Amino acid sequence: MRDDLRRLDDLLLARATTGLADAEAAELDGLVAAHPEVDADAYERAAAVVCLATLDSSIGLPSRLRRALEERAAEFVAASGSIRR
Amino acid sequence: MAQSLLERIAQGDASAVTECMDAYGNLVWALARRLSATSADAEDAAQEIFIEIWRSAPRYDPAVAPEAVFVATIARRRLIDRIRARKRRPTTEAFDEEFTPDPGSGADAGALAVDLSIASRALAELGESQREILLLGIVDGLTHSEIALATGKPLGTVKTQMRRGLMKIRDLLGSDAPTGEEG
Repeated sequence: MRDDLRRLDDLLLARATTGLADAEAAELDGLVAAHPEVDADAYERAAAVVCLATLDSSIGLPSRLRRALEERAAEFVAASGSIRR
Repeated sequence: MAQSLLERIAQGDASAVTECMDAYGNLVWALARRLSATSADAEDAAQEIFIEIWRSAPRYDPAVAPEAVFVATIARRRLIDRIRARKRRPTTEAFDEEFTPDPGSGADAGALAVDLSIASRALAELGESQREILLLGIVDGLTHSEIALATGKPLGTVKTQMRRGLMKIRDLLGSDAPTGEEG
């Protein structure tokens, strides 16, 4: 059990830093399912917080990308039957 | 208490979809620029990320993390997957001359202030060396080997410091360790 948890921790840490190969991702899915008590997203949240603290997010979206995103948003709404327009 | 944008999307509010883009566009764009090889890659990535954010809205739990952290988590995971899939090193060199920033899209700065304060406090708890390694890996997207080259530190040290640094921040943010392992 403890080896399982150690491996789970290794894979969660790798996912949050360098990413996982397909086989590792499949192994992680199995370990996460076997250990529902573990907060599987904690390392990724920590990494996200580091980014929030250090990235300059004052640069606005390029106009071209904004238009593309507006199209994607319209497509998403159209494809989501439960979305109220 | 007002519902978050993601909760509104999950409940089928179409206006929240575009409001989410307005609120987190700058953040997603900053991450995509940082961790993509070219401007075209960053634009593609930003679109993929927002579609994933909208689809993932039902999974968002405001009791677990601020909305901006959820958004950044999804963005990073997608960007890391793209880096691995294309085996490209992230760089920002290709960006500066291609885009004119949209001056009207800075609306998320205030919403991120609380998250930035939490993050800054967490980073301040780390030593200088540990912080440098963590930032090279997490923010700049360098591999452990690349960090070892950049810092002149042994690969094993880089891995250990990266692990301990992220564990420390995770713990400061209040999550329980999976293993009970200590460094």
